Amino acid sequence: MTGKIILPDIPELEFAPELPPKGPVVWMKDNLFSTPRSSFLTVVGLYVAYVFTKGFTGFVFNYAERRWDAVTDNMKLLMVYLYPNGTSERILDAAGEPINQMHRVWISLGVVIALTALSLVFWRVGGKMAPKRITRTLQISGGFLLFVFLGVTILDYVFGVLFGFDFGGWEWQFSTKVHFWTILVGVVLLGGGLLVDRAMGDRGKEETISVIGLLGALAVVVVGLLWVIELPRLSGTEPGAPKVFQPIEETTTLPWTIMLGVAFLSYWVGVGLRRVIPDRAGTRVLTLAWLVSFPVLVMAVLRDPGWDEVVAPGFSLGNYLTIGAAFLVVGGLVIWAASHPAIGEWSAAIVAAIGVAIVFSWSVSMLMFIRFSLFAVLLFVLGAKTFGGATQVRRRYLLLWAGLMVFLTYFFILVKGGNTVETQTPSPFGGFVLTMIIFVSVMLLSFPFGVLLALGRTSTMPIFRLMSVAYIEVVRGVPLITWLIMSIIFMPFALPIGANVPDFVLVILFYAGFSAAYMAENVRGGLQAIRAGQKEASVALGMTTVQTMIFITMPQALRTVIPALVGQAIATFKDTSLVAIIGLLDFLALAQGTVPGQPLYRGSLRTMLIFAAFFYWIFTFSMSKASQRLEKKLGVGER
Amino acid sequence: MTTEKTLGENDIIICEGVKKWFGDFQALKGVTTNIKEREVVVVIGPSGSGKSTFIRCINRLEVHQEGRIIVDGVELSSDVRNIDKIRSEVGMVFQQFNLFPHLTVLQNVTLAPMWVRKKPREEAEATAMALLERVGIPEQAAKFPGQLSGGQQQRVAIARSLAMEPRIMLFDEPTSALDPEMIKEVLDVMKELALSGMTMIVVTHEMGFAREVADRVFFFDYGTIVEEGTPEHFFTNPSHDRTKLFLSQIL
Ligand SMILES: Nc1ncnc2c1ncn2[C@@H]1O[C@H](COP(=O)(O)OP(=O)(O)O)[C@@H](O)[C@H]1O
Ligand SMILES: [Mg+2]
Repeated sequence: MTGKIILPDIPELEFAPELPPKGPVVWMKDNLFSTPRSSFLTVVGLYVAYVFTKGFTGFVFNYAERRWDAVTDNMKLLMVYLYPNGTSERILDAAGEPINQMHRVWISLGVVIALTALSLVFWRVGGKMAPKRITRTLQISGGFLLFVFLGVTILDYVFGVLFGFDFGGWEWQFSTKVHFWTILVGVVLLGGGLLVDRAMGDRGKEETISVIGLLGALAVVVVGLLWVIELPRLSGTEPGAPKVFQPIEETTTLPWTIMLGVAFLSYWVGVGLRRVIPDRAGTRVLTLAWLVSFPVLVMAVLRDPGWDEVVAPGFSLGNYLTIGAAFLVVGGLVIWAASHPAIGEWSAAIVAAIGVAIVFSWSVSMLMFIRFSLFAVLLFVLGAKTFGGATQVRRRYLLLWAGLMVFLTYFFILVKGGNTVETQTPSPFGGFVLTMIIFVSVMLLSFPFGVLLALGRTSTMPIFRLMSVAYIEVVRGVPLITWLIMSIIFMPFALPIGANVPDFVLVILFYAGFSAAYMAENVRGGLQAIRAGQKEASVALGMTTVQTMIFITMPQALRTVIPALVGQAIATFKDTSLVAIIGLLDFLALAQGTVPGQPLYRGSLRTMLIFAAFFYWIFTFSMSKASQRLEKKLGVGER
Repeated sequence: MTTEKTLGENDIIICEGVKKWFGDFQALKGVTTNIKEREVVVVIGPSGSGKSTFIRCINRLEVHQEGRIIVDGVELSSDVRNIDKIRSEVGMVFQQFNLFPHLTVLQNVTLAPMWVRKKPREEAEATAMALLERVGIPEQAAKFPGQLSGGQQQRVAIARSLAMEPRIMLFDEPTSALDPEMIKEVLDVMKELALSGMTMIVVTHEMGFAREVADRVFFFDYGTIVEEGTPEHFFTNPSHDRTKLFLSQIL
């Protein structure tokens, strides 16, 4: 006998036993009728769904007074208001008629679409989706149709004929033909979805369908429908004129088809570019393009600025170019010196000198351009220690300065130039374009300001902390509407004489200041969530407080507060509608006031409100979906 | 184990009567010691005895209130420029690794050389890859810290400190948060570093490590160095009762 130990064989891996698939009856019993209480809740829920669905679908599809033609007829008005009505002679043709300027809107949209498509490629958005998700959606839509057209009819019969209840609702008498076809479609969707599901089995759970591909296909279908669908229009100019079905005008269908082409083309160009450009460079260029595109589209493309005596009295292009060039060169020299490693105490002297110049520039009459450029020089000198250093790095820093100065010059020339595209509204813009401009500007301005406030509030310096706390508490303590009204009532008194700032700019500034206070509180939450070890590790490596903030704390803090920031973006988007109170004609103001106010569309208010709600919802819903994806993607870096 | 290295002539760290309070609680009660170039010092002692506070004072993560600390000829004071300079000369490895979770391993290692030492990216990345090679994980460069095991994370943390080309390395219980099977891989990296001539102060309870590479061992208790000596002295005839008690508990 040897003393050999016999080890038992390692047991084979076993799979967990597979549960038999549940039929719909079993599922309903388990989930809807498991206990008397849940049965009761299910019945109540069904009843509520019945009442609401009947009322809502009845109104949307069948009510005699529904006015969907008010939506389609006024679509352009809702989007851009009276945009193309030029008043300057620059946009009158030879016969003295205003030239249509809509192409400016389409170009802007095209740029946004192209940038979106390129971003989808370079940030690798998308990925695959399981067919089961699609079949599930088909089943749910089919089930919904059946519930509405079969379920509601049956329930109507049960309640009405058997028990004598009448729950009303908007003329729920669809024709037999409508019933027949809808029920057929419902059965096909539900049954087809179930059959495909069954046939695919487990393969249906594999993620094989490209999300981007699916979205592209959907876009093709929607744009294709524009060409074939016919919309009801009023046949005459009288309010009660009968409706006729007409194809959608080419001024809508053609540009959208081009937009679709732009989307596809940009996407494929992006795919090609990604082969030759590294992702990091691509995403950087795109980020910059997004940031620059907004002011350029709003100030240059949409406004079409002019610098002649008529549209911009007293403006001198040469002055601005000279000042810009001077700042570029002299400022550049100062920054070059300040970023020298051996600058030492001199840095403080330079900062002090620029500080004095800034105070001086604000106390005497001076071009805004000079005041802001001085600030820019100060920022760059302050950042020189952090971002300067070796010659190669300094050169890059200087290049950044040149870029900024070129952009600042360009921007101020745009701002000072007059509009040659004008509308008869307090702001040069209206409709959904105005909504978007307010929303994006407020987010762009309030983000850096909010981050600064958050830093101030968490700062160890009492003066910064006090100022930030005071600002945040005061701003948050007063309703947004109050601030918006104040912006146009009080601000003109506080502005330098002769500064003619349009209402919508004042509103944007106040709204951004308001939004920044909330932004600051969100960001502060993120800063507090970061473990002390992160900061210690960073400073232990020799990084300065500013570097630690920029590279370590802030990126992590912002990541953790993405959900809160998106929540705030959504709230900001919705609350842009408050500007209607001070007379700006944004999307909602047009939908609930202007359109129903036209004699031809009298009585369209309810329809317009449903449409407006739906329109806002599409955007907010996309934002929240996008943020969920972003969270998931950024989650990779965390434990 | 015989080491070929010879200690330097100069004291690279000088501490004279260093005292530190947290509010009313005195965490350091007058620490006086000199540490030579290329010396490896292991600090042991019961929990709460001030070991961490001591080494954190050396790169001024904690500020001492009395006494003097001179690192590489520069006295630590409230002058900001000194602090940044000292911190870039003194590397530190933490018990909890403290890697930056939002950056890849490579970015973790290149960040400070690029922004503090102002090295061009290419150079910083080349150095970083060489260091990751040295600690044995070059293939993990593109991953995020969260995707690595504890032992690998701690080795990245060591590489991150080394990337700054420090003259002194501080380790605060670098293996205490690790699963037993990962301790060795980190200690091996530290041994190699010690043999290469790095000045090191290591807070650890790994007595095998102390015996093998330490030039000197400090025993801390109640905020001061109670006993110091060679590893042989400590493991053969420690003189203090408290040292004996402590060693009997952990050995
Ligand atoms: N930031 C702090 N605030 C208050 N007390 C502290 C702080 N850091 C450490 N201490 C106290 O100082 C003493 C020494 O701590 P430490 O140096 O971490 O000990 P060790 O590392 O030896 O376990 C402990 O009693 C601890 O509670
Ligand atoms: Mg400790």
